[in-house]
Amino acid sequence: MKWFRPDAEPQAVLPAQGEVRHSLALNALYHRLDSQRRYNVLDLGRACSQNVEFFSQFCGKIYIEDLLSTLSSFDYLSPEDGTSLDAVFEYLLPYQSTTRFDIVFSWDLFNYLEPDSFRHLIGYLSRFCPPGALIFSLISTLESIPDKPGTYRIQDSETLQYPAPGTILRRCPCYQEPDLLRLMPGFRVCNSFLLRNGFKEYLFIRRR
Amino acid sequence: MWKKNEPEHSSPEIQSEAPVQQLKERALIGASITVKGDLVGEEDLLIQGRVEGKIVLKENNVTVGSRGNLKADVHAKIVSVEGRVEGNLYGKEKIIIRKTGRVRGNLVAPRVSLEDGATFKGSIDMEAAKQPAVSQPKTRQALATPQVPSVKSEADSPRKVSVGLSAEGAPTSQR
Repeated sequence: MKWFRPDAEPQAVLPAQGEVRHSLALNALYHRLDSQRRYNVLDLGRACSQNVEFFSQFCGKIYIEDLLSTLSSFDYLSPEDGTSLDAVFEYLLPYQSTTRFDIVFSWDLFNYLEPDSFRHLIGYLSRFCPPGALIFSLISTLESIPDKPGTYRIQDSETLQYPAPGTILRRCPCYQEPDLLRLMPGFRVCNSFLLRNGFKEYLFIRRR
Repeated sequence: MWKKNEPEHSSPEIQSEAPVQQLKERALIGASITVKGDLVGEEDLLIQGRVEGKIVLKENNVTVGSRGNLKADVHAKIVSVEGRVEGNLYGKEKIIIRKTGRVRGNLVAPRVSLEDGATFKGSIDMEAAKQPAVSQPKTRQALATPQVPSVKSEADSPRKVSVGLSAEGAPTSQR
């Protein structure tokens, strides 16, 4: 049984930079924000100075996890041991019950998760996402995706720099919107935009 | 002219600046040194060794050098990390994680600088540091440890499990 798709090692070297693209979903997210409010942000990707700088405009607290690297190097728990996925996520993302995430940046993480892991991750995060919480996600519609997820860098409220494409590819689950909604109970699609590069940007919102 | 230059050579005030400069030099914990316990003081500190405990230099700067390894909470004016830290960092003015820095913990400071290439996991709180009372977040180690049952294999050694590539996820082509 496999929990996670990736076999990514933490990248020791500075990742190469890729194309810069207009991001309609990021822009939509930004325009939903109330300038008088401070938001708690969960970034499931790798720590990146530009993103932290961007978040700091509206953030009370920023949580950075680099979850995929953690999952990939997490080699001492398995379903055969009787450990549940819920326990794994509780261990890897040990938040206090009072923690609240208003915005979650999952980037392209979902492309690398088995459906079961995907559903459990969303189920776990839902505990900390109040109604109205947003998830920004990039879902590939292409057959192949880079072997390892990259670092996406926010240039400004409507521009995103993609990671360099890389040379080794793997097959992509190509989650369609109905698949995503099935795996993300409690969320609905707020905005979605298909990009020319084959990615679909999604902004999900926690239902009331 | 003569009088203008005179103080530069004879003024006791200027002569006394040299020892003051020396006092401002930072203390060093060398690479071969391990400290277990709390460190408190009133001078800047460079850590190239290992520290386990707590470091409180609230009015001074603490630098964790590239060979430094901390399992400690740090309270300082400016905290700069080039090495490894597992613990919470509290910067009165600023926290800087250099490109070689690896930090796992929570950062509380009005300004946080994260250089590209730095590895960081935890939370960043730039608001709490601006307020007079800082609530201390729970450390990640403390939170992480008790929640998962022991799952070591019969041989009592970590078991490599199926966290890797699925058949679908195996590399399929090279671009």
